[in-house]
Amino acid sequence: MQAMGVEWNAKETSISNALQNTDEEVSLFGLNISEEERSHDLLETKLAEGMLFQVEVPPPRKIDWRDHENCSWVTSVKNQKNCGSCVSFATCASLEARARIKEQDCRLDIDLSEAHLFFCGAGQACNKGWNFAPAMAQCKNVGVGAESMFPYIPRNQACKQIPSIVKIDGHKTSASMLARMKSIADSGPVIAGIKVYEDFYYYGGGVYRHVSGAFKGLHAVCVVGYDDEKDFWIVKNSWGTNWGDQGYVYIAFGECGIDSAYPFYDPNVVYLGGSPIN
Amino acid sequence: MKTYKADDKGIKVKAKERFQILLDGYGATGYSWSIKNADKMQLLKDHNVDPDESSFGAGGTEVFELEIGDVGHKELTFELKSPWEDEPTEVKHIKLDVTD
Repeated sequence: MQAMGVEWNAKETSISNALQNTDEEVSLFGLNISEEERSHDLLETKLAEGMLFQVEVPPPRKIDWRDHENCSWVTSVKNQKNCGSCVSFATCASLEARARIKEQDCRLDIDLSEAHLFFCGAGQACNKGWNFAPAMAQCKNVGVGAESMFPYIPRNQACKQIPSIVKIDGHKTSASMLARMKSIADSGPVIAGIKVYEDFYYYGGGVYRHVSGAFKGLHAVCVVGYDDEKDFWIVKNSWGTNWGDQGYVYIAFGECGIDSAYPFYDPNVVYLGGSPIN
Repeated sequence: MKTYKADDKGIKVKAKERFQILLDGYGATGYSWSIKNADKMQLLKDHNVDPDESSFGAGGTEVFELEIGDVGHKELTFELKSPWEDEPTEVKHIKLDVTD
C-alpha cells in the first residue's frame, strides 16, 4: 500500500495473498437502484443545488459523535456477519445515536433490534439485501424494538412482532457536501451507501481510497462524523471490531460513491423510551 | 458449459470437460467462498463474482469454473470466510460423479 502511495493500511490476514490486482470486470456505472429512490435522489440533488444559499449557519469543519462534548453518543460496533442486513444495521446505528442526542443523554441505554427492522421490514432477505426508502418507511410505520426482545442471528428468520422503542416521523436526504455535513453536525449520524471493492475487506487504518480488487456489491454504513480539513468521513461499519480500525473506517471524500452516488439519509427520531413491555 | 448450483443433487460431469458451480454470494458483507481441495486436484480454472446491484447488501453469485481429469466419485469442499476471521462461517461439500 505504501508503495502505491496510498494513505491507508491493509491488514495481513490468512488470505491476503489471494488478493489479486485484477482489472475490474464490473462496470462501475448503471447502478440499478429502485426507481423510487432514484427519482427521490435526483430531486434531492436538484434541491441541493440551491442549498448553498439556504444554509444559514455553516457546519463545523469537523465533528466526531464518538467524542463530542466529552462523551460518546455512538453505540458499540455490531456484526451483521454473512447476511445482507447492512441497511438495518446502518439504520439502527443512526437511530441509536440520534435517540441519545435527542434525549440529550449520551449514556442512554439503547440497543435496537436489527432483526426486528430487517426481517419484519424486508422479509427473508439475507441474500437479497434491502434499500433505504423501504427501511425509512418501516421505521415510520412500525418502528424498531429492543435487541433483547428479538436478538439478531445472521440467517433468515420469521418476523417477530415486538413493541417498538424508537420510531421516526419522517426523514430528509442530503446530496450536496455542505448539506451532508450539516445533517451530521445538526442532528447526528446518518445512513449512507457505498460501493464495496475487494481491498475494503483488508482495510486496517488510515484514510481509505479504493486501490485494487473487484467490485463486490453495495453496502450500507452509518456516518458518525467527518473532517473537512483532512477530507474524510468517519464511518461506523457493521463487520465487528476485528475489521478495520476497531470496526470504523475513515473514507476519503469522493470515494466509493459515499458522497456522490447516494444521498445521506437523515431520519427524525422519536424515542418512545422506557423498557418495552410485552 | 454445464452449470450447477451448490444445492443440486446427483451432479454428473464428464472428465476433462469444463463445468460451473454457482454459490450464493455474500460479497457486500465481506465474506467470500473458496474451494479448499482445488490445488490438489488441479481443477479450478476460474473464479469470479457476479455482484447484484439491485439493493444494498445483496450477495450476487460466485461462479467457480472447474474441470476434473479423472473419472470416479469426487467431493468438492467450499468454505465461506471473511479475511478478518480465522474460521469459516459455513462449509459446503458437493459430491460429483465423473464419467468418461
